[in-house]
Amino acid sequence: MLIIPALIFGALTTGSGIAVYKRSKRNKIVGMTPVRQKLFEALLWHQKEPKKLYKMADKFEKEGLLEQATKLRKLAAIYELPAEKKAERREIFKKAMASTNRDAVNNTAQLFDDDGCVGAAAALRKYASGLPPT
Amino acid sequence: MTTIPEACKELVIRARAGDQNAMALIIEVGKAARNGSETAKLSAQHIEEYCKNNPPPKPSDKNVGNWSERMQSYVNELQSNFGEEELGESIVVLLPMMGQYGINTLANGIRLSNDIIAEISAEFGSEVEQHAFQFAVANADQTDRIKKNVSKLNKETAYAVLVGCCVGEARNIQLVRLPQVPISIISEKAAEELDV
Repeated sequence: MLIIPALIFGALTTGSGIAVYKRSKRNKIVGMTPVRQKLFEALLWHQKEPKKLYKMADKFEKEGLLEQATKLRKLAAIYELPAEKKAERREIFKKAMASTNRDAVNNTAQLFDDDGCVGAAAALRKYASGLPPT
Repeated sequence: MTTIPEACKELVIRARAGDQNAMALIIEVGKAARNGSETAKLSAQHIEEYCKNNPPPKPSDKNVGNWSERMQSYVNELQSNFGEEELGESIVVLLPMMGQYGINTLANGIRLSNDIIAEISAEFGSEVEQHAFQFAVANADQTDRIKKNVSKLNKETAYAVLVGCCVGEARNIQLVRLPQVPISIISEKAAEELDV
């Protein structure tokens, strides 16, 4: 007697379960969301461990966020640079900070940005913003 | 001898820079003009004209001023006082209005030695303001944190802190150019990326 209602209940719950699963798959968030943007910026500005940066870069890549993944990998690579390479970049940074040519400083900032040095690029852009237009 | 238009111009510049005495004087001139004083009416007219012809610089994102003829005139005025006795006064009046342009003009203009810092400090009226200025200069690597707390201070002290932050940032730019100085004095993040 109880078998038929149990079967109906079972079929209904399984069916709704499948429907929920399908809906969740269909509504899966893709691309950059405000939460992901916050996470990305927090990683970019505060995460110093290359291993964690590489791991998160993989996760971003899986979500189709290739640009962000590349930036995180570049930043991780910066932290792993040998001392001589860092010293070279440091010298370029110091020379740019002594320049009074707005365009030249902005161009150097762009080079640092392309290389993954977001902090150095931001500091140079701030300095460039106070130089008279060339 | 200073003419009325010149005096009015100076009053407006000082008031815009946060000088409360200048603000109070402008208010008094307005009151006297409304009460019928002919001299006050003339002064009020000059003040109004100067304000109309020279609107204050619009602060843009991150306190970076917009480059304009006015900014050029501020830069020229600051530069013309390098090595002069009036340097301290022009720094105190002009620097907070110039944002990053003022910081850079100073950083690229004159070596900010301890003597120069002391000269600027002496421009402030009270000992409290002088200490506030010196504190801000010495801690310019934490300008953002200092500026967040500046609202807790009275106007005069807050103004001294603001000038101190600008002078300190300019001095840090000069220092960071030296090979042995760590980049962390201008940016912690840049230092993580570039300092060995």
